[in-house]
Amino acid sequence: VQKILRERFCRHCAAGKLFGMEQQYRHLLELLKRTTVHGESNSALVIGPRGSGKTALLNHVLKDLREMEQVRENLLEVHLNGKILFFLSGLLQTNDKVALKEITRQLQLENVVGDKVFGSFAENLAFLLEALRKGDRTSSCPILFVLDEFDLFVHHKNQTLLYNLFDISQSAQTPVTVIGLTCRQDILELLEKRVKSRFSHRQIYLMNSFDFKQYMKIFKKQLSLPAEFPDESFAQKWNNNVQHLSEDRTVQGVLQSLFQHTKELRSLHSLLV
Amino acid sequence: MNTRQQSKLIYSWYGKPMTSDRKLRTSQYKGILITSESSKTETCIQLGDFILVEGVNADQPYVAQLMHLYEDGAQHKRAVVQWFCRLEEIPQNKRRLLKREIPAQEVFFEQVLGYDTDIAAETIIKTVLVLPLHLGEELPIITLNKEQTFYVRQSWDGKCFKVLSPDTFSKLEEANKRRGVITNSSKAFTPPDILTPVKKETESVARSATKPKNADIEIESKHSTSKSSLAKERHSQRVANNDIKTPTARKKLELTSPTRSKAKLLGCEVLGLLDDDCDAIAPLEPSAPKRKVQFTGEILASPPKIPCSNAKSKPTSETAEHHQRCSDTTRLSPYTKVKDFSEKDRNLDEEDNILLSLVGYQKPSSQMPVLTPRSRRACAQKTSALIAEQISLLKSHGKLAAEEDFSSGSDSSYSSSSEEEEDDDDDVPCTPEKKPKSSKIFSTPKSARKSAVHTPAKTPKKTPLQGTPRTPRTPRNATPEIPRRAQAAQEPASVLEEARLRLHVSAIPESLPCREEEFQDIYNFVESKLIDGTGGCMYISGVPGTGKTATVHEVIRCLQQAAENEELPPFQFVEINGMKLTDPHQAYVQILEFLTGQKVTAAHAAVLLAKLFSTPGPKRKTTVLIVDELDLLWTRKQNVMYNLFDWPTQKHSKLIILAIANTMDLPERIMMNRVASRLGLTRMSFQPYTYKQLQQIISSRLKGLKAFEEDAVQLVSRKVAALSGDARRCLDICRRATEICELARPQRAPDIVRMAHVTEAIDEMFSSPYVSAIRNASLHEQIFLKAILAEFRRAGVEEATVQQIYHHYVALCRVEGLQSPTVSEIMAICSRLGACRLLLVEASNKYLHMRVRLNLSQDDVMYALREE
Repeated sequence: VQKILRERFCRHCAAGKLFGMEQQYRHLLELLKRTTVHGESNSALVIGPRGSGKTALLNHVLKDLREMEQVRENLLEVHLNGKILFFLSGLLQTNDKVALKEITRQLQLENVVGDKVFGSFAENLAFLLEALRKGDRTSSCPILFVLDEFDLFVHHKNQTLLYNLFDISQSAQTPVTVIGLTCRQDILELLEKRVKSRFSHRQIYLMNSFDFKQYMKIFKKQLSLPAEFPDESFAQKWNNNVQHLSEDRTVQGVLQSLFQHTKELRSLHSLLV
Repeated sequence: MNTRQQSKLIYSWYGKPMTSDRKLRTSQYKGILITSESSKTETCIQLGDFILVEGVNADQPYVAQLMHLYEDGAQHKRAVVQWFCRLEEIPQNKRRLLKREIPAQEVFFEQVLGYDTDIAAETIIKTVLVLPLHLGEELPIITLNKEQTFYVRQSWDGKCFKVLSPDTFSKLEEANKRRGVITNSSKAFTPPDILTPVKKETESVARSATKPKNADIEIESKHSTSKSSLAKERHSQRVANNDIKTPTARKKLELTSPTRSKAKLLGCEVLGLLDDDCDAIAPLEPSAPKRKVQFTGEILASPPKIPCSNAKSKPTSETAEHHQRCSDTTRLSPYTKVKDFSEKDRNLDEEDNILLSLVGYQKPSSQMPVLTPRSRRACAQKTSALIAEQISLLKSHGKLAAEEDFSSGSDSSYSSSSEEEEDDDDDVPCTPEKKPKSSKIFSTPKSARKSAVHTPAKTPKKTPLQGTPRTPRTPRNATPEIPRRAQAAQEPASVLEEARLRLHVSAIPESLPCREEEFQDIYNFVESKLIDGTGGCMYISGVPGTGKTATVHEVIRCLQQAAENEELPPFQFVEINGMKLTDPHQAYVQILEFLTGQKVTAAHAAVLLAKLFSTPGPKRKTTVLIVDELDLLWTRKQNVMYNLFDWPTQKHSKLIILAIANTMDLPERIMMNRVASRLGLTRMSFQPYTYKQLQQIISSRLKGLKAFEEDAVQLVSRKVAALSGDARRCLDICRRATEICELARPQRAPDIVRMAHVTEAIDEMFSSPYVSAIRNASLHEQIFLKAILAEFRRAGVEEATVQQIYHHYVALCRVEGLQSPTVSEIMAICSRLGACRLLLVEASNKYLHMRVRLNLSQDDVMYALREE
């Protein structure tokens, strides 16, 4: 029991259900589906305060995308294996130079020799652009760029990386989808005007817009054991206890005050642990 | 390389002036002496000689025949030449007209009028051989010095290819003959007419062998047929030795000319061997007689590579030197060599076929290092005794090398193995490698030709450049490609999907509505400059998304089309984008790479470009350069911009620059006066689209599709026009609206985007997130915001410290009947709001004295909070 719960709390609902973001989920899923199926280029930003489940949402969507297409036909499966995911974290990629090398490495292009990328910054950029320009909508494998901590990329010199990524997504080259994750509400104002013009202005907001009742429901769900737990009677008992616990006054009081302080689910998790 | 040599050369006239014109103060000469200071050698070039002339690209000098030499009034040495053009200089689309494969050594007698035939004598590099041939004729078999021998079959007048007229032909031949008397080296070559009958016989045998297979091949030059069967030969060779790694594609490329030389060498004995060979290989190979020949040719290409790839192993490098020395002797005394060779071959006749051919190849291979400049320089003379010695050496090494090549093919040939891997992954077009496997006769010559077009120039240059043989491939040689998708992209199924596809910004419309006027202006500007052959600048400005780049590209496309139809002189088109450069100085590198294919450092590129644009290039086309995002090329000294705009003002530059940027007054704002004045006053500004224009753009993209309501389109265009006039935004909104429509649409409802959908999309894109963010914040966060407002009102300043806010906060909590939080909780709330940028906070090291400011207006906060 402890193992299951701890896993659930520590991995931040990677496996669990998403709460209160069905609409955003659908939007993002549609977007990615179109990229993979039709080879359409797109760009989008996921904006929400810390702990609102931006990364969880994205992981969820990607997981579902994989599953769905595997179920649908095995034609798409191959295609998906070829699909390349990028996780560029703004905290790790401190400047464009490093980010670019990371991209090249993850794309497994030809100048990669054993995880090391050779050549100067300029060469790399030209090379990568050349590589992306080669492809077209119908033949190349779509690429998904995920830029975590998007706001940090904005501070790079000239926003070269962003400009180029968005430019590719707006021109008839290899289909790419750029998804940025950030917690800053004013992110669009930070973009340079020509970069902004190339961004498609799709913004997905995550707000934690649930009230206390829903909050309690989440609390219960997080604690209760799944139906496929081996020891069924124990699971039943446990779940009943959880129910009782949630009706307890003191527990409700504690949760209420926590809820008033913050709506982050992460803090709920840390409390439960 | 050439530029460096150039500096050490002294040009002087040969003999007395033949005639002199007093009035024009010119005097004519019949020869020029080029003295190299370093090596103290003198070369004499006479009228009628064929010469190499320094060109744009140092690796590809122009070929020409010297017609006149004179000194003009200003004591400048001038020369009048008749140009020959290489295949590379002929536009891609015209190459189709040839309908045959062109070896690297073939040039065309040029009759294009546009080129300046009057050049400075200092640009002459050295003499070469140019042999006239009849159209149906083979390339001659003897090549002594491949690099310096060219062949002419046809003439090129800018539109089509013609057979050489009889008198030009005879003139060229005459020039060659004269040359034969003057220089001793020309003795070496055998005129094509006196080809040995033996050779011709083999040829016909080969022809008949291939004829039944494929009629097409006949049209192609025999060279290509030999190549194709060569490929097959390679294939069979592979079958025989399973563990053999196929030699690289590059090897094959280099073999073009060696094939010829060896063919001659072995020509006589081929017949002798023919019977034996036929028996042995007939089942495998229909063109058995040729097999022998090709086989040698094939391996022949490999030795130059082995020396460079296995530089670590000493014996190999030793032989590399042997190659060199031997090659020199080959050049000097070809006849003895040939004799020697044939003798040797005969001796080895009894040995097994493979060994024989190995030796056979090793000999001609010694000519290969001639390619490298190193060996060319070293022209020490060797005695024939030495030759014999070397041949025996070579022979022993021949086996060794072959062994190496075969057994350890994968690691010894650095490029081959790696390229092979590449080829396996992605299907790069220039892989003759793979083709032999399929053993299709059709495909092989084609691929071979393709690679022959672009690789030979690179290969010789690369070897000296790369210090170690195992250097990872440079990006330039690699062919970057994103993996192909395994499954084809789905075609749009419904009307909405089709509409979405057309509305995507990347979809290229056939015409650009609402920019006709600008289009015409730019077109006229560039066209007039092109026709005049002068240079000029144009500055184009406009806010993002107003179609600047699209319009310019459209102009270029139209101009290129016109040039193809011969309405305009041909031009080169180069594009750089300030945003796609890592550093302003990289612009030089990119331009130079576009123009000549060279890859050098920024500083060197600047020098080369300056030279290129300031000197009257004899055969240069006009260059149209597009500089996008000009403002990013700004440097503190502005030298990049200065140079860019200075070049067009040079007399001979033939450079047209179209500079694109966002700001209208960029020249005044950031440029120094000298830069701005060079940019000139030809400016154009793209106004933001009005709503009518936006409407027109959308409807032109949706032509024939009933996906949008008329009103919906109007709403979008009005909204966007009011905000920015950015066409990209407009298209994005429409695209989003189709998505919303598709999602919201009940089963089988009519596919049309209505007002409601568009409004939703607009709201989604333009709504401010702040209000909803505040509404969804937790209770204490909201109270904190209220406290801030209260403090602001009290102090009358839009800034407060956390300490002051805390007082209000506690009071507010009491009013609400809540437990007041601790200070650390307050700080947590504060930092959370700061992370969302609802608040602007100072660095948190000041703790309670940290100052806080709202990132949105007080009214917005009030509005958001009041609603509850």
